[in-house]
Amino acid sequence: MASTLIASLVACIVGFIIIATIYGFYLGLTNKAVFYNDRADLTISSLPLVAFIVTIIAVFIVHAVWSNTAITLAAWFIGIGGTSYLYGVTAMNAYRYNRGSLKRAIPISIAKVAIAIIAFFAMGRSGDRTKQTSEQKVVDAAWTVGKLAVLGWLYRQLINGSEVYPEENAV
Amino acid sequence: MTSPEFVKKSKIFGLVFALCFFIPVTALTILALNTDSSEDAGAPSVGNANTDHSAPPSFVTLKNDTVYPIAKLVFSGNGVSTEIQTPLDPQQVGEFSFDTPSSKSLPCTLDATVVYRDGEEASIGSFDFCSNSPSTLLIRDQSDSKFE
Repeated sequence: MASTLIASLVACIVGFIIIATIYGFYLGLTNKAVFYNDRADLTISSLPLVAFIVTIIAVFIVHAVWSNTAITLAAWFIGIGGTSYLYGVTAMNAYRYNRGSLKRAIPISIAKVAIAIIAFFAMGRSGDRTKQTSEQKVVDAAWTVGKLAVLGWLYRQLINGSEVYPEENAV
Repeated sequence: MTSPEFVKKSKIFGLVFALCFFIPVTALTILALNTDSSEDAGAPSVGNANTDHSAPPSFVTLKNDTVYPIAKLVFSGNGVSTEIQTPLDPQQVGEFSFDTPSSKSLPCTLDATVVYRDGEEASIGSFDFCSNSPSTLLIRDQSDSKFE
């Protein structure tokens, strides 16, 4: 009974995150809200995912070196604390760039994490490349270039601080 | 838009989002650690709770250590649950078949709920039936139930 309740709760949260992500992308792509104010904001917004990946790698290294659960857990929680802090900064920026509008800042903050995760997995490679035929390598390269092009276009569209509030960014 | 109040609000917003990330990840880590049957299973990983897919043993020995007669026990884990009819009077011991079709997909660690004959239900905790297989599960009130 308890597990069903937890599963329902998790499903609701996941559903909310998906809807908020889609809405966040809609707001960003239609210039109804500031997604990334500028390149600096894009860099800052990517840091939580970088910190999370570094944490996972660090935890595995720490565990391999010390084989001590307490030290491994300490490394994990320090990493998660850092990631949470960086995510808080990202959300704070989203709130500030959207002039304190919760209706825009909440979906944008969620979507910022989502796009970082999507970009990370989109650029990941699968399969044994050494066993690929030359045709497969060409297809793979084209697929990689295609993904890069789509992501590049998406990121360029989402850096929209000057388009949403041109008066603030005017020189 | 850079008044001290606005800056304060933006910081609170950031803090809430940071906590929205930190609390679930911490909870999942604790959950993963609690359900991990091994003592030192390595680096904590998010979302690997209940990964022990070994089925519980075919038989389970139970002792009704309460003052109420018991009708049945409900075991659940990995989103699957199974019921075992355990008609036990107070202080009575019995061995019951755990070998039901649904028990095959259960993990070793199961949440147990006791159903008394008067229909009252009580959750008695989570138990690892694989590593405590020959032991008797003492069914007690509240959270005092344990293997002996």
